[in-house]
Amino acid sequence: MQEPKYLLISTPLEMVRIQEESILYIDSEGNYSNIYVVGGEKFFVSYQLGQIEEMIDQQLCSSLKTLVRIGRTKIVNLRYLCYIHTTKQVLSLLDPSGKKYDLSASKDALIMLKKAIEKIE
Amino acid sequence: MNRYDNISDDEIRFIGYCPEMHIDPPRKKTFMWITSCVIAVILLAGICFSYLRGYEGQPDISSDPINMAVYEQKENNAEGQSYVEINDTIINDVSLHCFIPINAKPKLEVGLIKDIPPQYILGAMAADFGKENDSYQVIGAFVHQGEMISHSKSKYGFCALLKDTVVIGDDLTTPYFEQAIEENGDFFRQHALVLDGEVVTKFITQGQSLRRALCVLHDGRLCIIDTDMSVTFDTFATALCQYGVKNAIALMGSGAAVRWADDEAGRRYIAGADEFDFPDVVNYIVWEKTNNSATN
Repeated sequence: MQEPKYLLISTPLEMVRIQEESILYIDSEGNYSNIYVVGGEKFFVSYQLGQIEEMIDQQLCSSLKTLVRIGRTKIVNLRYLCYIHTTKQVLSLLDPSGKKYDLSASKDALIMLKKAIEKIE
Repeated sequence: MNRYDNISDDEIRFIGYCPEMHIDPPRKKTFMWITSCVIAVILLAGICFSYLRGYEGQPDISSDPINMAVYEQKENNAEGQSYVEINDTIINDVSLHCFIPINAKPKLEVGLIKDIPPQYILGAMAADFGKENDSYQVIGAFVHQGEMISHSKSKYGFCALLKDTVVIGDDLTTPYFEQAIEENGDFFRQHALVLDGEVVTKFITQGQSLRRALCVLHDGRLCIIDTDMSVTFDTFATALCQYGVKNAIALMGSGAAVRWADDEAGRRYIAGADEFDFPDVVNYIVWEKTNNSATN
């Protein structure tokens, strides 16, 4: 059985440790980021989204390919992607408990994401 | 800038890049490029023509009254209590909280304030800061008590705190930066949101976050206004205009940015993360009581 992969985000005062499969999405709030996980919890960390992406790239197995950066403000876990509407500029995630998260993204980014998913499915 | 931030809003990137997942971005229409080139040529021709004709009357932006607002500190009531008048409202479905300091004078403070002194009746984090070369730096030009902390020009908006005057403006080459140094004043840069009652549309990103601003109302009073809803700069600035704000410059936003206010009854209202691990360059605009009345 494959060992679960954890994303570790650490500052001098605190540490956030999350399994890759628990990450629903991450969004940017200026110099900070919010990490939304399965179960409804949210972690607020003092790292920019680019820094979080770098940590994911370095810590989590690069073969996973389930986490995708969408534009400048979001990273989304494709495990939970259930809906895309390009002209409404909406994508939806559904966590295992059935809770739905609607996120906005640019039309061009959603077109590319939709094509990419259709290519690999 | 982190190389991972080299991405536009119209792009996607699989983390741990995999070539078989690469999708070419939608092709830009050819006529858009042609149109852009034509416009660029026309602009260049106009600039050359104006230069050759000896164009006169170009307004001096640094003194353009539209681009700045000067707020004169009103004479404080030596007997009056120092407190913050708090007003809450909803404009265009955006909740706004307005904090108007009474009998208090603004200044900048640098460094984490863990225990808020009682003489600071109103305060909020002011200039943004970010990580550069493994250390945190204030973003944009910053002067504290006449000492230059930073001199970059990354944002057009500015606020200068000089003796009894507060200047809010939108000028990359403002002389108030040097004046703050000469007069032991304070200066910081942020996004200008509202100027002369109009929303400033340039340099405003489309991201959503909790927003906060330093504002001059149409009745001339200086205040802080914020919202506890995640909105874009444009939505926030539009709501400020409709509320009656004449000029406004952003203050540090997001859920972590701290703001506190003491009302007339002495109750303190705090927003933001008070136990957050902020770096040493964290900075605040604070209002200090201007009198030592026994009622304070």
